[in-house]
Amino acid sequence: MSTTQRFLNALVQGDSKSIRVIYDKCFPFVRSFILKNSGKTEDAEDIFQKALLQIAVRYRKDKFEIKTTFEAYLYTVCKNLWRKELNKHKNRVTNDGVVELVSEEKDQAMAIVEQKRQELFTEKLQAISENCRKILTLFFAKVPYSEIAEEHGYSSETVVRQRVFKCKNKLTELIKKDPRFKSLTEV
Amino acid sequence: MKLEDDILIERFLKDELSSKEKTSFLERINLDADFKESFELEKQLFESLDDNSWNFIEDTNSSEVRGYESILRNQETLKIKQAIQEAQKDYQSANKPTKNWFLYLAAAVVIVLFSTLIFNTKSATNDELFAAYLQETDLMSLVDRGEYDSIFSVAQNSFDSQEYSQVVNSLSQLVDTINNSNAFIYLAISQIKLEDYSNAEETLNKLINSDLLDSQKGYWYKSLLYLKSNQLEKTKTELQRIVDSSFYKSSEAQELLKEIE
Repeated sequence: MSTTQRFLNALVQGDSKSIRVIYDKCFPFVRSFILKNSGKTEDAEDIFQKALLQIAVRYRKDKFEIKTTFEAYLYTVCKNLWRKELNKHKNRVTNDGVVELVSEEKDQAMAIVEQKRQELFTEKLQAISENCRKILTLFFAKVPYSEIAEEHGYSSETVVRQRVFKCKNKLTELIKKDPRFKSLTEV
Repeated sequence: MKLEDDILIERFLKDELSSKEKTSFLERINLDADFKESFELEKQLFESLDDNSWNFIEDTNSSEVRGYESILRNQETLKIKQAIQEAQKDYQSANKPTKNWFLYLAAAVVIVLFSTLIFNTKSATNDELFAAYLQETDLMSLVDRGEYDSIFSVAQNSFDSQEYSQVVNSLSQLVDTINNSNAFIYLAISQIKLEDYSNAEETLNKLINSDLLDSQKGYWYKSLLYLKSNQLEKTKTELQRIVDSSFYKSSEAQELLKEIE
């Protein structure tokens, strides 16, 4: 049995001894990431617990495939939960200044759907051509068109803009074709 | 979608529209379903694929959300939650005594340093520090589903049973083609344990010069290699580099720097 399968089983069966092994192997990396990104050890503990529960719940509902190692996947889920946490304040302010109180379970259920959507998008970004992926990564990281043109050998900003437009169309086309699209994006 | 609409949506998302433009943009969203769909997907992509933001779902009552919510509330999940909490408590308590142990170690180091000053004999301090800082629990598992799983599984078993020459046999020929940071680290640690320092250094240089995501981990293991081989000036240089660049294990590097200085 692969390590990934062993850890998934441990989570679904609530086997605390094996879950402890996951802590030994992965928690130091997550803690170090969160400490470097404005968090404390307690935040890291909270995020790590949520991430493990998220994976267990998702796996109980539909047995999904982890395409990297378990450790790498858990690290990504933790990073995304921390991104969500850091952006919560911003999101609440922009939504009419009203803070909607949601239960812990609802918040975690929303985090699962958001994580699944994130996975759909990153998976499709990996599926387009390398050139498109590179230019879109820069575009979504908000690198100005002029800088992309200069550093990546495009003759003008207009050429970059057209290239971004074409690549984005390819990406959205792939996303829309995916059976997960409707349930994950119309929410 | 037309290029003009794409530019318009992008300007809205970057908050570059005038208030008049914004009003007509929002009106159009209410009237034009296709434009609304394009805008929503673009917004989701914008927020999801930028590491500094996060795309929150808007419909908190969708069937997808409710489905997970009900699983999160059932007894089975509560049991899993408790098991996770138990594992965390266990991990926390196991890691607390380590700190005390570090204090004892620090005291031992002071005593050894004193006796070194008095009797001018060579101490085993660096070996002890190496053992204390090389926390093998930090190592990611080598084995997973993949092309090289059988080799990794042999190497992992050998490593766990401290048969380091077997690890070197399994990994040294393949490490260049596998391009896996864990393979480099397992190989280098095994070479250090076998006191084959020059090859360990070469392995870690390969990791550092690779384009792997966690290539920076190479510096930490290189500093431990120099520590184990009693090359203190080089150890300090590597540790300082880790601290200055906030590389992997930078707080441990700072702590270790203080200990050896």
